Amino acid sequence: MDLLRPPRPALESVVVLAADGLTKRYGKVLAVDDLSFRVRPGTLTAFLGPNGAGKTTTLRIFLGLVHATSGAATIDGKPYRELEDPARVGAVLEATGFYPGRSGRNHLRAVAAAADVPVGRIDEVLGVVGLEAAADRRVGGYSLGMRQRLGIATALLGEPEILILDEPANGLDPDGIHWIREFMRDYVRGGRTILVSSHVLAEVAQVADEVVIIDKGRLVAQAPVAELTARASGAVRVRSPQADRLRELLGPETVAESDGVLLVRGRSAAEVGELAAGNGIVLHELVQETATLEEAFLELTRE
Amino acid sequence: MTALVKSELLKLRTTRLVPGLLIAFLGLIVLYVVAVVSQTDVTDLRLSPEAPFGAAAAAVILVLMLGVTVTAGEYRHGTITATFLVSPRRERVLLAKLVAAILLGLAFAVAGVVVNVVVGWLALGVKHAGVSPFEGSVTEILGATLIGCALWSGLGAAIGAVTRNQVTAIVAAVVWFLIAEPLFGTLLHQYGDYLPGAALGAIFEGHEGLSRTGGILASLAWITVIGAIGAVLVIRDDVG
Repeated sequence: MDLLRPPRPALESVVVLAADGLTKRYGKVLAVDDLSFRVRPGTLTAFLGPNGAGKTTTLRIFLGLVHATSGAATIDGKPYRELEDPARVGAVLEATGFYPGRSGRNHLRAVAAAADVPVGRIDEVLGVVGLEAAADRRVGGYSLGMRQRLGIATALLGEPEILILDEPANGLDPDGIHWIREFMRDYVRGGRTILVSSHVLAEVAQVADEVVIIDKGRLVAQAPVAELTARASGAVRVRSPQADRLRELLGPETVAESDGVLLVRGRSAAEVGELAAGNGIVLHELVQETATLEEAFLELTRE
Repeated sequence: MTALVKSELLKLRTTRLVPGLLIAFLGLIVLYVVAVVSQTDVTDLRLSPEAPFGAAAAAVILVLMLGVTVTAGEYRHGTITATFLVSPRRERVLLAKLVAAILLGLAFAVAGVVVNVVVGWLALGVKHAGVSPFEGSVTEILGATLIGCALWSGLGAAIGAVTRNQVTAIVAAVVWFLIAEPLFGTLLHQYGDYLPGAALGAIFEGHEGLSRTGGILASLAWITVIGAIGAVLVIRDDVG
């Protein structure tokens, strides 16, 4: 019977993007330092780290724009340059790569021509990003948000199965950030894969399945997002005229932030409130702080 | 490859620099014809009727700039990133750019020849020189204009690939053609005829050192060598 069973897929076949010992050195600076991580198909993986952590360099190595000093970044087991059909990978890098005097439509036409994509696809992608009305205007007159949308439209021309986005929310207004988030959510729903970098955890936490965190070019953690946020749940901020007494009750994990204000770790706001009520302590303020990326770092690296 | 060439031509058509260069190129041709015809005696014009028809040779620096734009222009605006994302095999992109540069140089030459013939004919008529622009020596120089412009543009593309900076490429070219090459030419004696400026010049007017065909072959060799250096650098270097 075993003979009839289909062969179990090799580990590599369930990985879309893989970094293996990726290293990039610029002179004396190690921008990426022995970085290894995996992106599974059908997931939205957030690639997080503070500014200068090496995220952009890593993504550019994946896309064949920057050469690794050592190690490998592969897509379906191959370097980007050796892909049969690079159009199945879409990428949105910084929103500067447009000729200002060219219209958005002409920019798309040039890329579509090179990628052998039918012209009809141009109107489709303009529709997806909601840029139809501005398509015939010069890109020089576009707002940052419109350029970002044009970048996404360009990436979508080849109907890619994999999208690589570098800080797509940078410089966008709240509407724009919301739009990008919804766009990414819809995109992976159809089984497609996204790797998106950000230095703001909150931008992507709601939509990401998996998180890869790097700092100073090194991997800090790779974990499902649920696990990360559970571990890095922010502190509870509590203000009370009887702060000292409350602090005694809460134990050593609690720190006094300022006069009458405590930061409580390892307990929910509800637990703190109930404890205070049970002991007749008056509270003036009780807030569950949201986890910042920095706190996530601390939580994850503490182990 | 056809797709990449098409994309390059589309990109060039939708820049403002290329139509600007074309207008300047044609303007210089008109200026040249008017200057030559008005300053030359009728008897001299009858002796060398091709004189007003080699106008493009005086404006080739603009065709060189056109070629430079094809390769270096995309680095200026960062559109090279999008180009290499679509076609990560950079050597293919460069080859497409070289082909596009040569085709566009040829297109400039065709426009230049038409303007040159029309304005030259009119100017000669005004002068009552009684010469036709279709004499043997004239068609020869017009044919040379087509090949010459195509190769000047190709050379520009090769230089642009080496510098990947429009200003550096143009300054380097001007310094080379106006100062360095004449000096080297003196040092190298008859071998100086094979230097890029002399070789490309020989296409327009073959001289005792190098025939037209010799000029074309030497120019192709220079484009190949400089283009190969550019290709090595473009493939080796990181983008962004």
